[in-house]
Amino acid sequence: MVSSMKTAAYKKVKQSPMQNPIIRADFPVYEDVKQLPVFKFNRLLSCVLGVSILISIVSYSMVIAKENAIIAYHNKANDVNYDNIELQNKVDSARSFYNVNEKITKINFLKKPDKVLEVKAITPSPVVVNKSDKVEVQPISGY
Amino acid sequence: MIFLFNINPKKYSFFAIVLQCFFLFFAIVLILQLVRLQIFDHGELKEKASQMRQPLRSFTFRGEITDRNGIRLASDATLYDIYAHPKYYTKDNPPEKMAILLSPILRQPSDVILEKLNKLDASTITLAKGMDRDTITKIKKLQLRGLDLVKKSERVYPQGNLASHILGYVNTDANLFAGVERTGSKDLEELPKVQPVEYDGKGDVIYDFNTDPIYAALPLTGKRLVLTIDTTIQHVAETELSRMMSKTKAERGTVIVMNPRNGEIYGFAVLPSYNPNKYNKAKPSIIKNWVLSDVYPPGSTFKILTVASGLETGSITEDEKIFDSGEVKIDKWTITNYDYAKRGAPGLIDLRHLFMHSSNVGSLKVSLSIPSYEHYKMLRLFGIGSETGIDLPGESAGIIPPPKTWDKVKHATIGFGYSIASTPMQIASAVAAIANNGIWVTPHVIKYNKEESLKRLKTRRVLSPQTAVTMTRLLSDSIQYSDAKAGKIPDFRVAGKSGTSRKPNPHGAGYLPGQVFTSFVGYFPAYDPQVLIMVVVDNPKGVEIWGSTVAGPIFNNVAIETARILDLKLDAPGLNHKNKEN
Repeated sequence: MVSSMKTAAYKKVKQSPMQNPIIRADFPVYEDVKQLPVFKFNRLLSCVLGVSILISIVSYSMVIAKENAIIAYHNKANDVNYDNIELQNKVDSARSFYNVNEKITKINFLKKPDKVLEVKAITPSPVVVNKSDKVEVQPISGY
Repeated sequence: MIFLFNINPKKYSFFAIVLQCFFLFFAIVLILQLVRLQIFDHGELKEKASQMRQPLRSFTFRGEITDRNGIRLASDATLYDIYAHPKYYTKDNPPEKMAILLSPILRQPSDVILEKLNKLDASTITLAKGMDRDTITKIKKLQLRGLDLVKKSERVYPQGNLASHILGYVNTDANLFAGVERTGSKDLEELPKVQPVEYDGKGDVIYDFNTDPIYAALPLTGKRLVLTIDTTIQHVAETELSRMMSKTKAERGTVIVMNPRNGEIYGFAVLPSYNPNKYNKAKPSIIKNWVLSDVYPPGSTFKILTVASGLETGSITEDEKIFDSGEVKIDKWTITNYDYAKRGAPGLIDLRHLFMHSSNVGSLKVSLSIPSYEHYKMLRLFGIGSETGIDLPGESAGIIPPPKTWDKVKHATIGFGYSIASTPMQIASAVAAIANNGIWVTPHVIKYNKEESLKRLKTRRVLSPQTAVTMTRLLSDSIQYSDAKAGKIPDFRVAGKSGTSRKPNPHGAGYLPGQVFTSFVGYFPAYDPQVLIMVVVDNPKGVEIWGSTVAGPIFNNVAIETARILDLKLDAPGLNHKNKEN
């Protein structure tokens, strides 16, 4: 019983499922192509390739996105730098001796005022200075 | 496979062979193509690739120029030139439409722009030059194809006319430079050594692992050039000189303010000046730094060198007494003191009197007492007849005849600053040598570090320290005991000398009638000199036109302000408090 079961199992595993064989014998059976180590290795390589392609696509899109962002920042930084240079030049020109002299010569400092307004002098109230020894200092808790 | 495609083994074998052949053929084609690309077309493809990538930044800034306190005197601004390329025009934006759109932005009539744009045979059309960034931003928004916006840098001088002859100008199109823009050009164009960044054809950065984003966004600027000039002293010198020149209607003038200890020039006013921002509108005669290129007879200021040479060679002593007859006749030539008509013959004079009254007769006698060759050697040591080596272009060596050609008249007149010609800078650096304990130093306007100073600046001993101290004493006493106000500044002792010399005729022999150079050279504090000031005014007009009345007041006012700006320690508190010139 056991041997017939073994034979059946063997046939199931090793023998090809040929129908109506002309010769009956225990021929060595060709292995299924999916069972070949080369196939398995190829399948592994294909998986690795697929994963690599996927990683490449993801990383490439990330790099491109990052590069675009950096280029955008780069352009903005450039704009700020050029603005800064322009403003600095304007500030330097505005406060230069040359510019100040030019502006001052345009103003007539010796021109008499058209109208003089006379106002009453304000008499300030006398300031009472308390001598420090007469000032009573209230002690504050904590000091 | 047989099972998969259900083909018989024979067919399978055939199919496999065909497939293998196909792959083999494909592989051979690939290999041949690679060989062609890598070996045969290598050069051409490499050139194409280099055109698509920009290995270095094509747009860089020239370095800034600042004064000794960091105040910017020159920097770069960004401007754009706009060009059109007819072959890239599109049907959506024909020239007519482009002209209408660009007209308000470029502030040009649309028909003028259209006329330019319609030159369809031209490959490049210049539409506008030197446009600012606002204009360019507006044009970019229009998204017009066929327009090229080329960025360029332009030199800006925020201080206007200030120190124009020192700064010079830049014309990169014609490769023309003047002033320190020329002498310091190598430094100003030297870019920092950093990791190179590559750019694509559009000008965007090609990032890799080594690219530093911070650096990539920074404008690439040349080395900063720091000058020895103090803007405030420069301004004071130019203002005081300008005021006196307006008052006396003088042609030209200069004020040199320097540190006699190390040759650093604090201020170098040269008038008339020009605005380096608009250098192309100035006359070449104004752009030229005449103080370095033109020579003049130094006149009485040269007596300092004559007496110093006499003392150094041992031809005279400090206590020398010279008989001044007020007038002498040498080989048919009569030489008189400037005040001979008024004062006559002073008689026996000492060296202090010689300087106080600017005795021509006394000076010529000192000059004649020095052997010609020794006198010549001393003057050469003082730098007369050779370029000072200042770091500005266009310097003249001056004129000093060789000693074998010296006759008695020439030797005598050299004593009071005639028969020779020098630049104001030569006289300033020669007198600075006396102030610097007898050591001559190359005057300079660019601030150098220790290593560069050793390489670029020359020093040489001209006088012994004893002679230098004696000269300082004589010059200081002559100022202090003189009736003139020139050189008398509050709280300081000044060692100096005024000079007035006739202006040579540039078109022939002799002198121009009624035209003079007035000058004053002095240093202070006399016994610890920190500042030397040289003033020369060319052809002032008026009644009292002397070195002491024209150049002297400029010296005094510039000296007072310089002492205040540099916060000099007073060497004689309370001295000369009634002598400030207005």
